[in-house]
Amino acid sequence: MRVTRRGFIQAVGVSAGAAAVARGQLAKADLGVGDLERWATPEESLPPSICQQCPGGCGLVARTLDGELAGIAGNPLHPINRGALCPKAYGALQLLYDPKRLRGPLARDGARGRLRPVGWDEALRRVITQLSQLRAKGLAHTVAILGGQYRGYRDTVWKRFAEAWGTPNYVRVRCLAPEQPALAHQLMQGTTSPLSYDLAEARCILSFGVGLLESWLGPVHASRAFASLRGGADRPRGRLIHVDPRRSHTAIKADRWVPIIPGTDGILALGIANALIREGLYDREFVEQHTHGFEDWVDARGQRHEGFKDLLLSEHGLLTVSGATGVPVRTILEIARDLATLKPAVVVGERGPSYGRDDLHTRMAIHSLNALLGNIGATGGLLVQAALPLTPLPPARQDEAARRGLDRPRIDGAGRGRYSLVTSAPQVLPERILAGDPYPINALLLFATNPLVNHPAKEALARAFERIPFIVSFSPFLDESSATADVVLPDSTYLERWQDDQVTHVAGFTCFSLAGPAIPPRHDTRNTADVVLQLARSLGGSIAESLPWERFETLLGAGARGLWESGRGYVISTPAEESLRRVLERQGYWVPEFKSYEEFWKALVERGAWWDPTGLPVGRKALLRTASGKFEFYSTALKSLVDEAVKREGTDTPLLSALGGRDRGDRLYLPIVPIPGRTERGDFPFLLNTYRLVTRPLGGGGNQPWLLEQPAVLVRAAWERWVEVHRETAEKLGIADGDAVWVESTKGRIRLRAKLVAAGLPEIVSIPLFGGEGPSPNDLIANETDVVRGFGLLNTTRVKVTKA
Amino acid sequence: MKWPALIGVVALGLVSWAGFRLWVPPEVVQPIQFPHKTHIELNLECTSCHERAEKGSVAGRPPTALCLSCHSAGEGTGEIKKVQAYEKGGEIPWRRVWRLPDHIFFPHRTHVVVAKLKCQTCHGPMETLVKPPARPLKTLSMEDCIGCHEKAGASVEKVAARARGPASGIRPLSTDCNSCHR
Repeated sequence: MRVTRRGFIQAVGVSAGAAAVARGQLAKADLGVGDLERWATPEESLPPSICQQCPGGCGLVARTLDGELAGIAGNPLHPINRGALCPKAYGALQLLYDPKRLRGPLARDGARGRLRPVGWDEALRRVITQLSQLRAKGLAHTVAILGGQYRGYRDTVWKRFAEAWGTPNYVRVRCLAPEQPALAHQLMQGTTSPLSYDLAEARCILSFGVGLLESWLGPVHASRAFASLRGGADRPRGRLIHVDPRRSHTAIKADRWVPIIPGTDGILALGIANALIREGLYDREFVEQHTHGFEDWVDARGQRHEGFKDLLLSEHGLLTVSGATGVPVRTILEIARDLATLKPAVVVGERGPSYGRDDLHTRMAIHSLNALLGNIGATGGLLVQAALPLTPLPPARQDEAARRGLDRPRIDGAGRGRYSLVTSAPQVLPERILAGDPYPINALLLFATNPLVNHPAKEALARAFERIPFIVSFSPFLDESSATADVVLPDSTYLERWQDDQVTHVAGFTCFSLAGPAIPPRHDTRNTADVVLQLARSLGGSIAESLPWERFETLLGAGARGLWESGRGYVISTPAEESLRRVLERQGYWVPEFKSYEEFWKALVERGAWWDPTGLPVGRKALLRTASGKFEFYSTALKSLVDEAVKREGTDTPLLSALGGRDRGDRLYLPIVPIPGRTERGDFPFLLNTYRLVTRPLGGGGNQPWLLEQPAVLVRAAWERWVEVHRETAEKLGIADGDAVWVESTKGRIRLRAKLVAAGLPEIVSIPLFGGEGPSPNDLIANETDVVRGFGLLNTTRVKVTKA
Repeated sequence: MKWPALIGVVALGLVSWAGFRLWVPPEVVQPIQFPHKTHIELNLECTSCHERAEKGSVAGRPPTALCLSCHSAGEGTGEIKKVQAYEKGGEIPWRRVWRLPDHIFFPHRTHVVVAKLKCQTCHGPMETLVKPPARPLKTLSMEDCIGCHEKAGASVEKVAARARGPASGIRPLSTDCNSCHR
């Protein structure tokens, strides 16, 4: 072979080129292997967090890979859920990664122009300018804060801001207020902190429409208690009796389901009380020694008063009760005997929706059963939690403008007249804002609520919003209410921010949960608590002095110092360490685990909660804080409230009309529910019953598809809203399963798919409160306020159903 | 002749009267004219008041407290007022109407709960009465018991045969003397 000069040069060139290409590829391949290794072994961390989808406050463990959230699991150390979770918890992933989340603050061009993205500085500047101008004009009280369902230090921050700023209008829109005691407990026992039901230790639970296994205060905690009731290794099997017009999940799991005509729960409770007294099954010792108003009594002025017993026995005979409630006499007797023989027994009547017209007295009647069973302050009955030993904060500083503002009446009229018993009455907001009564609202701050969807008078509220010159929303989404805002300052989701939780419904221990951000915020969002602190700093003066903390975590740290200094309780730990501490506590020793507060704080952040499993005042003294020091069948606290209303307003008529138009006699203060007369059904023959699903989180869950696809296995429904109709009713109306129907009330009508159910009362139709597609039952529900808790009356609307 | 005939007639009358009293049980007068019909029409089951029929061998009579749990107050008929008079204490002195011979053991619970017999099977149409029965509506003889046990026993055997072996949950029915004569 002959090698030419040209050929040689070509060969060298080709060889060099080939070598260069091969080398480059190899280098790339090398780099790829590195990536692959890194991808296959990402940096994993498991920070604790707290589920905020409902008031349960379950402990979470967030699994993050290279700083991205990859999964959610229950925190096995957390005493509320011990590693278990309900389906809602997993929805957090879809909440976090929702593509519709706001990327950063928005502000409106001009008065009612388009919302456009702006920087945080500009957005905050606009808010501060508007608020400062109002304060300078002496209109601090015309700023209203509308808050949803949240607890702990986030509430503290808003409350202090309102107090220091000078507005009485911090209005909460929510169904349950877990941090407050139930009004019946407050009026009959004088308690100022919430009571907890010791479900796990009870042998018999009687629930009046409380969805223990669905959507009560803490579904996971209640489910664990139910498991213990049913299958505890060291005790006989207990019984759950559930009273509910609808055959719910709890009804199916219960040992006995008692269908009842809606709104007559109090009458049934009195029937059971009658049977307990008649058959001598009540706790005589407790009733004689620790109650007031059971028998006829004479007051200090020598005036004779009727006792609970005689009134009850004379007016609530079992046949009368049976006729009013639809519950057979025999069932009433059997429930009474179960309660008396399966001790300890506890009666739960604390649910979200109102029981109807006589709501307060219904709750009092239900609670009076607990006194008849003598379970107040007893294991397996009603307990009170020790207050969390958090560092107390000094009172908020108030300047002259703040004092003037706080002296003005509230826009919702809570605490006066008809609404004397409630701390918030958001139902009246539309009419009050539209009428400018008692004054116009100039600025509205919306936090953790979407009232233009949730409010029963949402159309009127939307008109009212148009009258408000400046609206600020803190929602992470551009929901219906935020879309009307002038400035949107998006909050981070609960996995991206510092947060605490102070759960009050658990029995047997106190618990403070704490979590740092599991991951940094995915978008340009900020923790609203931090934003409020920043606003306070910028507004200066006494407002800045009242909220002096640089960051929210500084406030959390300052509060948690009290836990460390209290010399009791523990940061949650492994079961082995926990058992050792319990043994030591039984022998009277408390052993500190940490040498300094810094160590304590570090452990608290790493493990997720502090709890005190032993330091509980379960004695009866702690639970009976009334004027008489006894459980009061005759509520002197309610009498004082009525007397104060007369003193303050010159009349008690609005309050009495709110309590069902009762006479001013003794029975106003006794747990006596009158037997209603027969009502004509008229054009709307069915009663609408709304209920909350286990898979419905607080915000509705419309952006969490995992929750929408598994809402109701009982009726095999998902994604779209539906209406449950009894088979008998459906047959009469010619409706088949899955047919489209119109559900109509005096307010409006909505089109839904019918799902036929075989059990329950035929004159009831049920619609779930559910975040899925389709019209909401709010389009049917009349905007009436439950005067006891300030929430809308969800289950008193009459409807008719026709085939679409 | 007159006197012996008169004595004979009187003696015959006495013997007839004694025989009648021995043969027919005496009329029972209850302290309160309780209407079963009214109560059944209010959707009360028999065992709502006669609750021990489901729990023990002797059905007994309802305690007064149970009557008072419905009838403790309010306007009512004279009979309800009589019930209310027992409010202060004491039991209504109901008188027993049905009585089986002392040597018969008849457990109510077994018949009502296990065999699910209707009360009327033995007691007759009580739900139609507007006042308490003066005498049992139905007099049971041993043939009634045997007849029922044989008939029901045959159907139990059929079920067992269909199940090809001892069917669980089915209680054998006995016509053995010792079953009742204990």
